[in-house]
Parts: sequence; C-alpha cells; structure tokens
Amino acid sequence: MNLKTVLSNVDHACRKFPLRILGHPFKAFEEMKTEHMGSMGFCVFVLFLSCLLNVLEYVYKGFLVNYNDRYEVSTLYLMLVTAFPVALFVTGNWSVTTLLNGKGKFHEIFMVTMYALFPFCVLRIIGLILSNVLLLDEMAIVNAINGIGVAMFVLYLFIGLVVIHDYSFFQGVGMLLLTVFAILVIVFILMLGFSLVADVWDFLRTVWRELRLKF
Amino acid sequence: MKRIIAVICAALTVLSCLAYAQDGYSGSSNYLYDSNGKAVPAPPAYIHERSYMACDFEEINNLKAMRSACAKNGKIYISCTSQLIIMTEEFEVLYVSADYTGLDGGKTSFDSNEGIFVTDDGDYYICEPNRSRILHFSAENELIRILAEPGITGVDAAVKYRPTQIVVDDAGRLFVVAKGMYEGIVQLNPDGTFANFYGVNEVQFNLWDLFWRSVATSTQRSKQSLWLPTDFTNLCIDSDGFIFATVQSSSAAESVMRLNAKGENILRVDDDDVFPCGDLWINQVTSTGAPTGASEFVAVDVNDFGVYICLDTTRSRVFAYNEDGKLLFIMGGPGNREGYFRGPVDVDFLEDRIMVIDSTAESIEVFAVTDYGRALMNAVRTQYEYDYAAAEVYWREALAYNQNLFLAYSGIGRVMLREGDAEGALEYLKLGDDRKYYSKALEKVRNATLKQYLIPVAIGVIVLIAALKILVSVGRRSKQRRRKA
Repeated sequence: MNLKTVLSNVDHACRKFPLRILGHPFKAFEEMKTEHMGSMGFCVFVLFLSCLLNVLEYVYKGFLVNYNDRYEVSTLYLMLVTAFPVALFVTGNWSVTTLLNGKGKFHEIFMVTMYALFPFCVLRIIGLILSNVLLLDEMAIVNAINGIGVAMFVLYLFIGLVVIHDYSFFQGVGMLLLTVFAILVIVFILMLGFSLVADVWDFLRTVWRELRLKF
Repeated sequence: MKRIIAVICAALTVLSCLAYAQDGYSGSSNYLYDSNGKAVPAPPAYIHERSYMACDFEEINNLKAMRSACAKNGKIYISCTSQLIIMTEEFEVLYVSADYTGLDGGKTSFDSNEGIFVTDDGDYYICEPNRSRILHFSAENELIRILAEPGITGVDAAVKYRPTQIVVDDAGRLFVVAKGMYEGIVQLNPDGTFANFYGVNEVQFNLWDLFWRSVATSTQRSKQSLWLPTDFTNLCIDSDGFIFATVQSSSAAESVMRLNAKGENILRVDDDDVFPCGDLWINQVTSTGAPTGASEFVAVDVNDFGVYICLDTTRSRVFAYNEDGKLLFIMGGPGNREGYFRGPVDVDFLEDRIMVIDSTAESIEVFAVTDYGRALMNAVRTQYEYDYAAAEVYWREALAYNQNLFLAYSGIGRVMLREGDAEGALEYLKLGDDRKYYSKALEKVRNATLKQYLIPVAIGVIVLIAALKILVSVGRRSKQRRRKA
C-alpha cells in the first residue's frame, strides 16, 4: 500500500464519510452496516479526541466562562468522565438490543456513537477557540454552538441506532429508554461488585494482619 | 491515678487537634476566602489591643449582661440589662446609671435593657422589652419621652410588643425590631405612632417541603415546627440613611441586608457572587466539639465608606465586607485567649479600631488596625471616593502584605484599565477573578488588535489566493502546451 492510498483512506474516513453522514445519515449508516464503510481507527480517534477535549476545555476555556479551579486538575479523571459513559452506553444499548431483535453488532453501535459524536467534537473545538476571544455578552454564541452540537449528537445517534438495528421510530424511542434503564442496572451491579471486592479485600487484609500479629 | 490523668490529657490533646483540623484555618484573623470559596491564609487586618473588664474602671462595679453598644460622636454607649454606661472612645467613664428619673420625677431602675441607639445630636434611645417600651433620653441624660406600645395593627393581639433593637433615621422615624413579630421591622412615625411594617422577610420553603407537608396528617403537622419568616436580630444605619439589618437563620440566603425606604434589600453583590454569609467552609462534624452549621449574624456596623462588619455567633467571628459585598477580612474566633470571644453580642467601629462586646466574658475587646489593615481600608476608602490613583498605591501596599488578596488584583486591574493600559489590566483582572471588567479590558485589547491586523491580513489573504489561482492556471497551460507539442 503506497502513501497515496493511505492518504485517500484517511481522507475518506475523516472527511468524506463524516460529511456523507451529515448530509445523508440514513443512507450512510446503511452503507456502514452493509458495505463496511467507516473506519474503526477513526472511531477510536474520536473517542480519544473527546476525552482530550474534556481536559482542554477544563484548562483552556476562556477565562470569562471558566470557573474551574486551575490548581486542581486531574487529567485521568476528566478523560474517564468521557470514556466511561460511552462504554456504559454502548454496553447498555447492546445488551438491550440483542434481547430485542436489534440487528446491530457491538462494534457497529460503538461506531455509530462515535460518528454521531464527531460533529459535536468539531463544534466543541470551535467553541473552545471562540470562548477565548469573545466578550461576556457574546458568550451566548458559544452556548448556542454547544447546544447545536448536543442536538446534532442526539439526532444522529438516534438515526444511526435506528438504522443499524433496523427499528421503527417508536421502537427506537423505546430502545433508548430501556438503554437508560440498562445503564442504571449496570451501574448498580458495578457498585455492588466494587463494595463486595472492597469487603473481601478488607477481610483478607485483616486476616493477614492477625496472622502477622500472631507469629 | 497519674496514669489515668495522663491518658485523659493525651486524649484531650488529640481531640483538640481534631477540632482544629476540621476547617483549614480556624485560628483567629488569619484567613480569607478566595473567589472559588477556598480558605486561603491572610495576615490579620486588626489585632487585639486590649480587653477592658469591670476592674479597669473605678466607676463601674460590674459589666454583667451587656446587651448592646453604640459608638457615636466620640462616645461609647453600652446598654447592660440593668445599667447604662457612657464612656469616651479612650474608655474613660463619663456616666454610669442603674436608674433614671421618670417624667413624673420618681426614680425607676433599668430593667431588661436591650438595644441602644444614639442620634447625631447625642439623644439616645434604649429598648426595654419586658416593659414593652422605648426610653428616649436627651444628650444630658434626661428622660424626654417614653414610647409605649404604638398600637400595632394587623397582628395577633396575644403577641406582646417586645422591642429589642432600634435605629432612628435623619427624619426622626424609628425602626424597631420586636421579638416574635414575624411581620417585619416595626416602623414608627417621629411622634411614636405606628406607621407600618418594613422589610418583611418572606417565608422560605421549597416544593419538596410543600409535598411532605401536604402528605402529613394533622397530628404529624401539629408536631412539626411552624414555618415562620426569619427574625431580624440587629440594625444599624449607614451615612446614606439606609438601614442594615441582620437575620439570624441558618437557612436564609441573605443574612445581612441593606434596606431602602421601601424595605427592599439593595445590598450590592456581583452577579456571580454569593451574598455575604460569613464562613463558606462549614464544619458539619458534631463529634469534635467544634461549632457546626452556617454563620448566624447577630450584629452589624457600617463605617463612612461603606465597609460593614458582621458578627457571627456560630463561630464568634467578625466578617468585614466592602460596599460591593466582597470579603475584606475575618477576625476573632471562639476561645478564651486574647483576641477570641466567648459570647460576643455586638460589634462597632471606633475610628480605626473595632470594639466587640463579649457578654459572657464580661469584657470589651478592642482591636487595633495593623499596617496591612490600614492599607486595605485606605484602598477601599479611596476607591469609594473615586480617587483611583491613590487606590492603586494602597492596593499595591496591601498586596505586598497579602498575595492572596484577590480584591487588590482586581482593584489594580480596574485602575489600569481606567488609565488605558488594557493589556496590563487583563493580567491583574484575571488574578482578581474579576470577569466583568476582564470582559471590558478584553474588548479594548481585541478591538485594537483587529484594527492593527485586520486590513493587512485581509489583503495578504486576497493576494495569496490570487497568486495561487494564477500559478495553477499557468501550470495547466504549460501542461496543455506540452501535450500539444
């Protein structure tokens, strides 16, 4: 594979296909499912980008709208705050749709989520830059941009999921509600698991300490 | 036996450490809150100068049950439950009395004295809640009149009129805080008749409370506490004739108010700022013995340039704010040591000193301004008087003592912006977390940058595009020519 094909592949994944989704979401998501359009690498990149953006927004958002404590930044925490919900959503959605005749596969759900997230990421970058040059009265522009970003994310996510699972509109709404429920269940089980592990760990430590005191 | 005592001592020492570990800087006068609500170290603005006890005065037998104090015209008036003391600001006693000559010529002893207020002429008013009346004395300590129950309308007749605090404005109108009157401050006409209620506190509740109350049975409801508006605790009047009132309630959002003639709160605060509410870091752990809960203000005093000091009974601290509601300094604290209070009831400015009346310790605590405090107060004063050049000098002086004084950064930034140095101002306004003025400075800097670079950059871009187009077309033509050849 020479450089030219690599470049054209990258161009397709990063520019042409996202633009196609933007213009013809139903067709494009259908192509993703049937013709294996879109690239997994690009999706991982979007996930990483949104993690990074979270950190950048915390630190570099314009002073006028940045109320964060600049002396306490946890990069890992800020990244996890983005990555963990994505993992939760994808898992929750997959577990619901496998039970309900959804045609989408795990990696397709992930890719749809990431392709839906991409326009929001771009708008976030624009908002981040604008927040540094706009005045207090003009910050409404940044808020509007972010609002549009969120709306686009929700819209494209919904379209994408409906297409890859081959659902009707109301089935899609039901799927989303059930996904929220599934996420809550997962969180509950995770908390249960963590507290159990902590208890076991505590028990083992106590046993070890007792043994050490004894001998 | 010795061992047991040692163990107890050790335990107490450890516990006392815990008590102080709870909120970062719970010593006296050594911290401030930054704009994020974080406690940061600060030098003291006022330090303890002297405690005056009864034994320091020949004329006074005791300083028992001090209730209120008022400093006016170079004199200090102290109202104890059963005596009145007048002294100079240098603490030389001028007048002590446990009784007064009534209008009919007979002697009556003071009983249950509470708040005292002195007018500019030297007349003074003393509240006597148990006798439901206010005594008005002349500057010569002679009784002028007795203001009995003013005939308040619209109140449950069973509620006794018990005036505890009073202020009088320039027009002679009286504003009285009466215990148990939830309708507001009682406003009296100059002749002592009832005018109306003033500055009513709204009852505070939320939907959730309302829901629970609607679900509760009548038996449950009868056992719940009543929803009553919060009580006013103290009053004072500033040089513009506005009334400062404190509210004692852990739930009230506005625990100190500045009331206009209509009784509305006009205390100035920034959009993104919280109302002055004392401590922001509140100790919630009860087991350590350190005081818990929000600050509760019981006294307030204001000086000539808009600085007001509020006394918090929860932690016995004094909080000072400037006219914009920005925290200037914190002093005092609970304890038995010098500069700490046991049961403070009132606080007053004495020129450049501050006096706190400690009722439990039966002492008058006097605090003198430090060099840092003087620079700080001067900066606030000059800013209040619109003398910005002088303010910058004082802010810089205060900043040299206290690098955490974000108010100084924003003060300097504002002066720099006014003088036209917008770029330098940006840095200071950012340090001072002053977003409103930062935005103004940014506008200037941005517009100047645009003016300087917009035209050259636009021309440059146009030229670049034209050059590219030309190059492309030239390239194409040469290709065609080659093909032809």
